[in-house]
Amino acid sequence: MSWSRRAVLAASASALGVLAAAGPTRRRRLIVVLADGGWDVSYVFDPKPGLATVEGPEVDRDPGDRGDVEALQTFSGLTVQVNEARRPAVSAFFEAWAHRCAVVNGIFVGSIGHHLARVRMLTGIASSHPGPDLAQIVGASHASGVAVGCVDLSGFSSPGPLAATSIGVGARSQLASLLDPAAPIPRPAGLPSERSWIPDAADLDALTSYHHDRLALLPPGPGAADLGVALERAEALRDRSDTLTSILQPGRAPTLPGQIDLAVALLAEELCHTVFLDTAEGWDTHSDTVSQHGLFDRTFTQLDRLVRGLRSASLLDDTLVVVLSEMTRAPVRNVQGGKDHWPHTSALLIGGGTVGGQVLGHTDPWLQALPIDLQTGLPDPGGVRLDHASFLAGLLERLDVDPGAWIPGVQPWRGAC
Amino acid sequence: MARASLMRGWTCATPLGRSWRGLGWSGRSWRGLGWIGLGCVGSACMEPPTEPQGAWLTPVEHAVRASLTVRGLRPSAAELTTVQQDPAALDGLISTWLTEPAFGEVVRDLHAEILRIRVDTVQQFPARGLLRGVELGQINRSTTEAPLRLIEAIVTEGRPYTEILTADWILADQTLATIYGLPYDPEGAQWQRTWWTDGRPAAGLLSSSELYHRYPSNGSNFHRGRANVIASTFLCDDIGQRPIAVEDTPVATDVADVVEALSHDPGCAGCHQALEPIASFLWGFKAVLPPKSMAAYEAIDCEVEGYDEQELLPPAAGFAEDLCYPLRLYHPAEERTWESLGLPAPALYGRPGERIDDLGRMITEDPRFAICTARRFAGYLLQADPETLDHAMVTELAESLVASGFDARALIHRIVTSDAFRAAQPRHVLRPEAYARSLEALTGFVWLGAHADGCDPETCWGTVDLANSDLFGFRTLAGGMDGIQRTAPTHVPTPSKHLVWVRLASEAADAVVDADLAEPDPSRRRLLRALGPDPAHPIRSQLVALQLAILSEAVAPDDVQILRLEAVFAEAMARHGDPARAWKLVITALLTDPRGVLL
Repeated sequence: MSWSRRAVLAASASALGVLAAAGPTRRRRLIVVLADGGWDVSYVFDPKPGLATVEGPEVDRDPGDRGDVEALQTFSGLTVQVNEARRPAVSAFFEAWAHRCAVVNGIFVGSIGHHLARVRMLTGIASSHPGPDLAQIVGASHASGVAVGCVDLSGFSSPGPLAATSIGVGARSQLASLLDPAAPIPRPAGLPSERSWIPDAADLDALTSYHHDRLALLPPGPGAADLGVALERAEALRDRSDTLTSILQPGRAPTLPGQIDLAVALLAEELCHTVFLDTAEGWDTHSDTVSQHGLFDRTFTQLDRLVRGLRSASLLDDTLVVVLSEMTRAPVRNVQGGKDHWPHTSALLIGGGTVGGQVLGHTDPWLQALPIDLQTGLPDPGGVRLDHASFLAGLLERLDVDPGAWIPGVQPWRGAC
Repeated sequence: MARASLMRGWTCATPLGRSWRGLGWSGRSWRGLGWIGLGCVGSACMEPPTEPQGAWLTPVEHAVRASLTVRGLRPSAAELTTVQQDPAALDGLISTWLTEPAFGEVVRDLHAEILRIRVDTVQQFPARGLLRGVELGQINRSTTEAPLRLIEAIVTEGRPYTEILTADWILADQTLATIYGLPYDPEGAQWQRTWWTDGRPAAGLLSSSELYHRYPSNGSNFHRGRANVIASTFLCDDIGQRPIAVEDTPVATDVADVVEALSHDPGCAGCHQALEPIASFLWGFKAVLPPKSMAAYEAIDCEVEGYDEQELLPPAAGFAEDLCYPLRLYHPAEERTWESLGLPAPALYGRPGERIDDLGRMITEDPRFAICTARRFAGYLLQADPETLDHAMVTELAESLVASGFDARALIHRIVTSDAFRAAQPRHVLRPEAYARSLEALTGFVWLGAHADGCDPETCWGTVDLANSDLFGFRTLAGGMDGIQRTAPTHVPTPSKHLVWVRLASEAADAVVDADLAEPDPSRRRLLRALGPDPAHPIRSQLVALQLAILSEAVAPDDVQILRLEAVFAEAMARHGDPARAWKLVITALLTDPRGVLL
């Protein structure tokens, strides 16, 4: 890991002012949406029609279905591949929102292992032990005035040393059972299901007071400081838990629509600064590439829900949505008819100051990243290849975080803004 | 690299990746401490302390941290007294703790983290066929714990740690034995020594079906992911981390082209020349065990005639009849499939072999095995990222491991008696497993939950250990890992950890106070032994006893800490007038006390 302790301290400086009033400058919020498993960018973002080197969605075409037509379509200047019969939600989404979107193609990840590639795309750092990712860094850096910096609704977000400022919800929304001390947890047969004592608000206040008094007795150090932050954040969450407990359903995994509704509500109520979501779909289609149609269609249906929700809450202008996947699929199919891993990917940026109607970056006939001008994001044979580190550094920069503190020595990508 | 020069570079702004280099292995200056640890947040850590006072844990504090680390339990009062009277006695106490059953549980915890094998959030083997009526939770526990039981036995029996990759026996309970058709005596112990009967070579964990069930290989991956797991886990060589030269990455359309490219193309060979020969050891194993297909086959008793095999059986799943219990994951006849595909012959970094027992032996003979073991153990016990540990420290530990004949207990003893371990900063944070275990020892409370009523018998998980489950419980929220999405524990206090601690502690306090107050004989109570006949009278001796039992701190009755606890009790009494409720609040406060969760 190469992020610096100075960066941790700087990010944590805002953590210490837990519930201080937000400053006069509104920092841009962030929602990360992860398509875990590796999407096939040739289906939407990076079309390669007519090239023998890339077996795109046209290979799946059903000859008996006259509506099953792959086509390039330009929406507000942004060109993507569509299929009205099999991925209608993609067309509908860009029809409505292309002017707020930028597609970034040709991001070199440099790994074809899911875990390693995911760490690189989310943190900008090559390590098997993940440090804090984009959502966590931005959340911790701008955590003043909110209950927690980042809320992870996916389980994929990695907080690293910034964990004191963030929270996850659990695989089946278990957080709801923690925020409400009276929430029942199903018990095995033979054990009493009722508790004779459930701490009430006064009990919890007494515990809080006791914890802070006792914390003061600890010698100063990182653990004590983090614990102080964590205690304060936990109290803030409990005090403002209605939003979380009204949407989270204990015992059920958060669906993408549920994640989206919760994300919008959390941001609108200033409970957090960043939210991490995942599409809750299986994108790793080694033996079933054709399912990418449905994956994209369902995901874009929900992205439309997300953007509409942000717009309704008047959050779209100052909330950047980053939709990404850790890698793409190989250009050609394997012996099973699926596609294996490929160390490049694309991303979709929505809102939050994004100059829309653009496709930035580009790839060669084998879906490999080609050089660009990092300042503009446009193709430049004399430029450099965009990689995960530059891409993440650029996102940090536009979210008012010094990228050099977290991804040192990397030139930030500055396209689409 | 000279230690002195490393320490000179220390400042609070030192890149975190270098911080552990300054973690003094034998030096004792402040600059050698792990002060700049993973979780430094407050302004207090902007400058290093100038006074050496407080640089090290006291012997009693060291005993508490060591006890909770190696056995997940707090020291007894007698043990604390022993250490207080004679700090040198701690060394012997730790040796004793390393022989206790609780240490075995920690060995399993440690290796669950290394192998990322305690996973309950992905689909399980179906409770059908021979497993009809068995709860999914039991199937999960049996399958995930089996490899960990093998390691536990090797370590706690004082066998050379190398046997984890060479043992010719395994441990199985009845469920695991049923799944794989292993010899098992229903009248015997729950976990019994047994062996594979399908012709696979004996190679400890490398023979374990569970390793390959946890790390499946899609059919076209040809076991490469598994090979990387083996190299990464046991030799700390994460081949997948090697940089890919994108300009040279070829596009291949069939197996022969892929094999050719991986062997000779510069963009591929950097990884694959190491990876492919390791993967070639693994062809006897089936690529995947798809639970959905297994359930489908069990539903028809594996009578596949008349069914569309392509629909039921995905590619790389092997043979239909192998997907009914007892499962068959290994086929000796398939071992040399690499040959027919034109893949490289089995080898470990150039050393040729034939089967997985050769692989296991060669790994243990590789000097990196000892180094990697030392690195992973130290990372776990010091709560540090193994990748960033000081190389000199790791090398010294590895040398001691080899010199001891690969005695893992001796390695652990050496680490927890080291300066790095007894440095006061950074504080260690109680792991979720240790928190639940120590709380159970104190209160008798086990945090159990259950799959909600009304679930389908084939999908019911039954009883769930809430501190050790991610699907139903609170493990990741308490700082643990699920092995899939969260692949490393969180060694930092977090809001969700605190919420978990409060919930668990309040439930435990509720149970133990009710039980204790119902017990007329004080000597048979767990915590409220010093309580007089009137539970409304918060005698300070009871509070002193609680402070000692729960926080391992011996304080005087008029100590400010006791006065603070007395205030908690009095306030609760003022609000509710219920002494039982007041004691529950006091005990919850102690069980969640910052001094108890930060070690």
